[in-house]
Amino acid sequence: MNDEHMEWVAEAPVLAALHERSRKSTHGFLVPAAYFNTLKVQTEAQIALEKVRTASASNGFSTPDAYFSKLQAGILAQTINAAPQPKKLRLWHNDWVKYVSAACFVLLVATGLYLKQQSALKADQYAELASDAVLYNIDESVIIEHLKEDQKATHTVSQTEMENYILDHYSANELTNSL
Amino acid sequence: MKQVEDSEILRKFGVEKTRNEAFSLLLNKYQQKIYWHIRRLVIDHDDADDLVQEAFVKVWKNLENFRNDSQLYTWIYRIATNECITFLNKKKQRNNISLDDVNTELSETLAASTYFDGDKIQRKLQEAILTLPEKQRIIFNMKYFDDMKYDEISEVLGTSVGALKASFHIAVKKIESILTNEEPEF
Repeated sequence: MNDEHMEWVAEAPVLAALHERSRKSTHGFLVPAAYFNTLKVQTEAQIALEKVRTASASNGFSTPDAYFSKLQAGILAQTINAAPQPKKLRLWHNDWVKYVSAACFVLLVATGLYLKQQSALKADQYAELASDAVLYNIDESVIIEHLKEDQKATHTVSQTEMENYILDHYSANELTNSL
Repeated sequence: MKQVEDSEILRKFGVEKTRNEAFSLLLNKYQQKIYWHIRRLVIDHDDADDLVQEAFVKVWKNLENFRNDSQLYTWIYRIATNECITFLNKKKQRNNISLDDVNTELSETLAASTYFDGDKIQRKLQEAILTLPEKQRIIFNMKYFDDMKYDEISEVLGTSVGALKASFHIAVKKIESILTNEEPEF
C-alpha cells in the first residue's frame, strides 16, 4: 500500500498533506450524537422486519429447493424458447373464399328448387297420360252405353214438355206433311 | 476491542443458533466503515442512513450465498456501492437531470448541510470531488479516504487494476489543480 500511496503523493502535495492531516477524522462530515449506537439497533430492527415480511409473504407455505429458478426455466421453455409451431392456414383466410362458398350455396338451393318444380310438373303429366291410357283401354260399346244411360238419367221430360217442344220448333205444315 | 475475523463471522452465520450473533459481530466490524463510504458518495446524512440500513439488510439476505470468491469486506462494499449507484440514478431519473446536474445538486446539499463542519479547504476538497464523474469519484473515495488497495477496489467495482490506477491518477491531478487555485489554509 505504501508503494501505491507514494505513487501519487509527489504529484499532489496539497492533497497529500490534507490526507495526512485528516487521517483520523471524518473530513468535516458530522453525524448526530450517538448515531452509531442507534444505527446497529435500527439495522437489526430492519432485519427483523425483513424476516417477518419474508415469513408472511409465504404464509407458512414452502416450496421445493430451487423451485423458482426451475419455474423460470420451465416458463421460458414454453414461451420464448419454445419450438416454432407449424403455421396453420385458416380455411377462411381470404374473403373471396367466403363469397364463392355463399354463391355455391345459393346455386345449390336454386337448383334444388328447380328440380323439385320439374318433378311436380312431370307427375301431373304422368297422371294425365295415365287417365288417357285408362280411357283408351275401355271398350267403345261400354262408353256409348254409359253415355246413353247418362243422357237418359239427365233427360227425363214430361209429355206436356214434349208437345210444347214440337209445337215451338216445327210448323203446322211440317207436322201435316210428316203425318 | 479485538476485531473478529471474517472467517469466524461466516462460520457462526452458517449455524442457525449463532446466526444472529454472527450478524451482530459483522455490524460491529463494518457498519461505520460502510456508512462513511456511503455518506461520502451521497453527502446527505439522512440518505446515507437509509442506504446503509438497506445495504446491511441485503447483506443479511445474501450472506448465506456468499461463496468466498472474494473477501467479505469487498463483498459488503460492493453491495453498499451498488445501493449508492442505484440511489444516484433514481435521483437523476426522478428529477429528469443529467449526472453532472446530480453532482451539482449534491454540491448544494453539502453547502446547505448542518452535518458538515469542515474548514474551507475540506469543503473545497469535497466540492472538487463532486466535479468528478461518478465512477471516478467512487474510485477516488475508496483509494483516498478508505486507503483500499487497487486489488480490493477491483473486486468491488469489477474494473481492472490498470484502469483503476489511471482513473485515480487523473482524479488526483484534477483535484490538486482545483485545490491549488486557492491558497490552502491549514
